[in-house]
Amino acid sequence: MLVAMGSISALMGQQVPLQKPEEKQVTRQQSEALFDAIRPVARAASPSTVWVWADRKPVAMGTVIGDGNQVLTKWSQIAFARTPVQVVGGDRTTGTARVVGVYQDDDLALLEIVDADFDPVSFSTEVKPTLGQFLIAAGPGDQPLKAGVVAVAERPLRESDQAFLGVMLDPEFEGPGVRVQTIDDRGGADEAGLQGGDVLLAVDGQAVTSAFELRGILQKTRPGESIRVKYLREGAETETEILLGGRPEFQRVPEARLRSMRSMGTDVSLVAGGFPVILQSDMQLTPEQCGGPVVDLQGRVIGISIARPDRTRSFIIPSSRIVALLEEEPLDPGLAALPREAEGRGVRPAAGQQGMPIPPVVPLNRGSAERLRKHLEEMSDLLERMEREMEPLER
Amino acid sequence: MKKSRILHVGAILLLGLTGTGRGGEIRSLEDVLALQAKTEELGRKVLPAVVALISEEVGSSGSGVVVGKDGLILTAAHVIDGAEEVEVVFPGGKQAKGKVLGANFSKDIGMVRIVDEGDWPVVEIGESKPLQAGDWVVAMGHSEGYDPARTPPLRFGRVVSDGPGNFLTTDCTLIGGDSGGPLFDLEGRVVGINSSIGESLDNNNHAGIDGFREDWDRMLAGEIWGELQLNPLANPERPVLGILMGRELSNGGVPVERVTPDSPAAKAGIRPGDVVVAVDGTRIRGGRNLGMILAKHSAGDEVEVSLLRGREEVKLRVELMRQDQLFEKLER
Repeated sequence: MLVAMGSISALMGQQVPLQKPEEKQVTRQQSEALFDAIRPVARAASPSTVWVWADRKPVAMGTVIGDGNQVLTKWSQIAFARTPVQVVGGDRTTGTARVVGVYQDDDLALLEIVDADFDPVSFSTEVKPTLGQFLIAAGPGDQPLKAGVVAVAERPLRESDQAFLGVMLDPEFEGPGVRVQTIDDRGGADEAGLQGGDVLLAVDGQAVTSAFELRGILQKTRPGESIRVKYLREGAETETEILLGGRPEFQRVPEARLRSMRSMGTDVSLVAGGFPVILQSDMQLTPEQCGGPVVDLQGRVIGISIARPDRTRSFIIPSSRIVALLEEEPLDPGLAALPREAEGRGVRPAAGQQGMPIPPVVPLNRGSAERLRKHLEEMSDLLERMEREMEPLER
Repeated sequence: MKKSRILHVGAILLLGLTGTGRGGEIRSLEDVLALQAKTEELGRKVLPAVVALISEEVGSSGSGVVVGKDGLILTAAHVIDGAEEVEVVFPGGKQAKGKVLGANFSKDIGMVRIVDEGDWPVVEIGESKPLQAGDWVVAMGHSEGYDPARTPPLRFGRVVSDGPGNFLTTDCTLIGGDSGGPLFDLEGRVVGINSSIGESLDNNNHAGIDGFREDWDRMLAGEIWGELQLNPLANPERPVLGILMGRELSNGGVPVERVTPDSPAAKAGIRPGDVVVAVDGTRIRGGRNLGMILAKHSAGDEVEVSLLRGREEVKLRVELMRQDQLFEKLER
């Protein structure tokens, strides 16, 4: 990197280098034409899309389900609300919401609307969106929020959903095969008796020639499945069955530079990772635009947008996962994430107000807990200040 | 080893310039469906050739794209800076050894060749010069380093500006690790190489593929040259007229103090004492503005320079030349 990150602030507000007014006009007209063309498609879901308000501001989108008086929204965006949550439709119909359940792993909250009805969405599960397919985030009004494409096909993000073998490979080894340097005692390799120095030759009959290839093969397996591994030890070939476990959680601290790049030009979601299954899109959502339905060009609802992790990505929970989730009993909001709290990794939010269940903690990894804490402090400072300013008015 | 560095952040200047625009026009949903069909087909076709380039010596991870059956890879110069060897990782996890060939840092372009034998997936090479604001493009790259859990993410967008010199700017959002990855036209031909980002989501810069053509043989032969310079006015390859500018006038005109012998300005008949008032019909707002307007062009482009000569307005056509080549010529 040539120019220090510090110089970025000086560039704020500058849009595109050397962009001619004509170029700006062409791209603006093109965006308008694109949105005009897709607007009728998004109408399939806009009556089922609501704004979710908390603490006097819109904090997320919501997707109307059930009989029209239930809404799914992004849990971490409302978990710390100090006022009752409200939902607002495109026609400004407003309803008061109560959190009745939490799907913690997916960061979704189930709301019940007390005094209004909306059109429920119908989830489409027959086709899985493919790479390059166009997607539209519907808005409550007539204007779609954002459009983008499928950047990466559906995949699990949660590390415990990824199979873990537990071998560290020797980068110096030239092959054939890959040589084990050390064994992680949390994986199946240890249990099956693999040792440092063993050379892995094949997995399930497929030759292994590199570390990345081994990871690629493991990627196609799931925890609980077994693989047959052919390996070489002291000149003798052996084959063994290894039962794969889930990947222990690794705390990867991103390089500072990468971290600051992530938020360039965008705000990022507080909870943006660890989802059991997601579709990755390049649509440029804001954190407050997550929680609403996403449709394809046929107007079919293919999922719910759930997070904005960085400037390049938005995550969508596929409809198949949502439908499966709704079969499950959600967690009582008062109990959600208590185990995390016991581990001392959660954050206790400010006390809730009357009419709202006291929001408990959200599942977080360590880094985001710190950010959340900071965010909370800022929020309560802001609220205190607002209350102080309100006092003279009320008197 | 999976440390992402890459994608430097540019010091970038904004200016208003003139020109004409055209674009991938959308009139109906059918047009959007057609775009979608192209993007889906493109994704399937080019994905296997988008590789991660990992240098353990330097501790960086960037991207590249295979364009030769013999394993020739195009990438960004800064991805291979300081490395002699790189690990080439294909989307499925297949790995090969790559030898760093040459690089031109002024254009942020470079080449790597796979040394292992193999029948490598390739993509075709397109053209970058004809691209203009509004043309649809797709960027790919191994964002934040190689990740076996996913294929290199596809980003759909359009050219938002043909940037300084050989560079283009798109709204396909990039991040560390994407550097060196390909930018495709909708036919799936490489038209650019991911290079840098600025603060805005619309500020993603790619080195135009045509820059490779001019430097192909030198890079193939292993030559490394140039200077990575994101300020277009400091880029040694920037196009110039060959005049020494005087103090700008209050109305923005730039007086010509001296004309470099044998320069494009000299050949076109620009004289000391002339005042440059417009380029291609766009009024000049001072010396810096003139430099930026020229920087948006490439050497070899012809521009129309409007001059005030006494009371008379003179229009001359000038073929721009690279600054470093002009200086070289002078030293001889």
